[in-house]
Amino acid sequence: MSLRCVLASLLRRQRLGVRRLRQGLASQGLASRRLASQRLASQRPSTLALAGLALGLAGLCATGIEAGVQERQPDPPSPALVRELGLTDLALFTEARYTRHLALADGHAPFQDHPMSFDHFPSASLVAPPRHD
Amino acid sequence: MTDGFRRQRYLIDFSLAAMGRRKVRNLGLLAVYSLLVFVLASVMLFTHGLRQEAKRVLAESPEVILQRLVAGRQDLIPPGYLERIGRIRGVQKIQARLWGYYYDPVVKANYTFMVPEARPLAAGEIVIGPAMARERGLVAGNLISFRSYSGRLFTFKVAEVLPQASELMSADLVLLGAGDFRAFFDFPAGHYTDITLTVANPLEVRNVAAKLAAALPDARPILREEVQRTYAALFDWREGMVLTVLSGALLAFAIFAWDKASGLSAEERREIGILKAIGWESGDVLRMKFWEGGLISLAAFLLGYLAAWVHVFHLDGALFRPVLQGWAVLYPHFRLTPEVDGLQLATLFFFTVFPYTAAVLVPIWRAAITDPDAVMRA
Repeated sequence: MSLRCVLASLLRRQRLGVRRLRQGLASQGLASRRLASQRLASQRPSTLALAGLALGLAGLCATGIEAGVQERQPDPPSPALVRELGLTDLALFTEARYTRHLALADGHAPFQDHPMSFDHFPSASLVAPPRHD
Repeated sequence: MTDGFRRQRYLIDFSLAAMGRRKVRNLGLLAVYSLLVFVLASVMLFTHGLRQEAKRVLAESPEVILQRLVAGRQDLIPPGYLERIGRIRGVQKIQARLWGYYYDPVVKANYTFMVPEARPLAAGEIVIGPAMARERGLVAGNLISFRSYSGRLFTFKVAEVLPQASELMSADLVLLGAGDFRAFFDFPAGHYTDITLTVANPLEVRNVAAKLAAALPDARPILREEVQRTYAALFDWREGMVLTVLSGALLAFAIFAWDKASGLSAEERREIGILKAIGWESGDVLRMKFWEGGLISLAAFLLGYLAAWVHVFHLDGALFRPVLQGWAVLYPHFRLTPEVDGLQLATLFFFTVFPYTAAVLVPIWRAAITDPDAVMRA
């Protein structure tokens, strides 16, 4: 038998070994998965439902914990900048001067361009009209 | 395990098995119910987060801002105006401010140009807001030119970009020196945009405003509490607008849930009749149905609320952001601080879980107190 034949037979055996090992592992994994699903199926429905609700309640508690942790974080730079520059408004609607500084806009905004003029900017359409009481 | 608890667990087992027989219907109900809670909770969490953020940052804004009005419109503060205010008891500091707006035709956005009194800037240097830096692709050290309203071209060097974490307040800011500001806007010498007053005692603020209004009839004092109220009203109004739009969906769900909960099917009637015939008490039937309604509504509440929390505080409220915030070219990127409002949570719980659970019980109680034979024959 030539060396090539010997090497080929060794390689074949090795491949067969690897395949068997893989099959063994796969069958083991399948078995463990089957066992887990059997265990899950053998649980009473009430156990699963109560566990699900407990998980949801834990999530609810986690939101409270997250909010508490955030509260203890050092102050972001916004309040310091507001104090330093004397800022008065949020930069949410920068499209028009009376929406950029809502608090400082005069009483005639948004109809400020001329009497009976329509409002040009969509932001102002969602700002509450002034109270007349 | 106590007998009571064991008994309740058996009732839950039975309820879940009964629900399993109508799997598609109950899963559909759970999905729609969770979606409804998600939408409501998202709107509530988002607007509450914005309201709290505005309250927190605006707590540091000036106590009183004084504007001068001419024909009902804001006008510049002329020279000598500050002296007319004179000394008012309780006022710690009076400061005249220079600020204005500039429209940038390159990106079609408005900037707020402002002179910071506490941060002296060299001539030709500016400090810019993060949204503007992003939009124009600027970093510290870059040069930028603006054509002023007089037609002259001004070139500034970006000395600094304001921190991204302050973007909610500083997205469109351009800070520059007083000399540059006056030259750029051709601002008349000795004139200012408005005046801020620092008042030490919060109880004195209204008195100071009244004295200012009396001394300067053409002035309009704006108090910090009014500014905060404006923003609270703004977000309340927007929340109301969104909820009004959603009210159709809410009503549709209410009808759907009421129909599902209050109208017993022939199969359910027969089931109750058989249970009573084999010895179940009316109380047990009620408890079993209570668990059915309670499990669905509680699961929907938890699923919907947790999904809304992730949506608002971790995915930046992507679905509602455009409606609840506004429209702008320079839009601030910011993340809301997670906050739990107990009253809000309780309100949401009461209005989503309680009505459905109650609606389930009424028809069951009617059927449970009737004779089993009559129930089965009905």
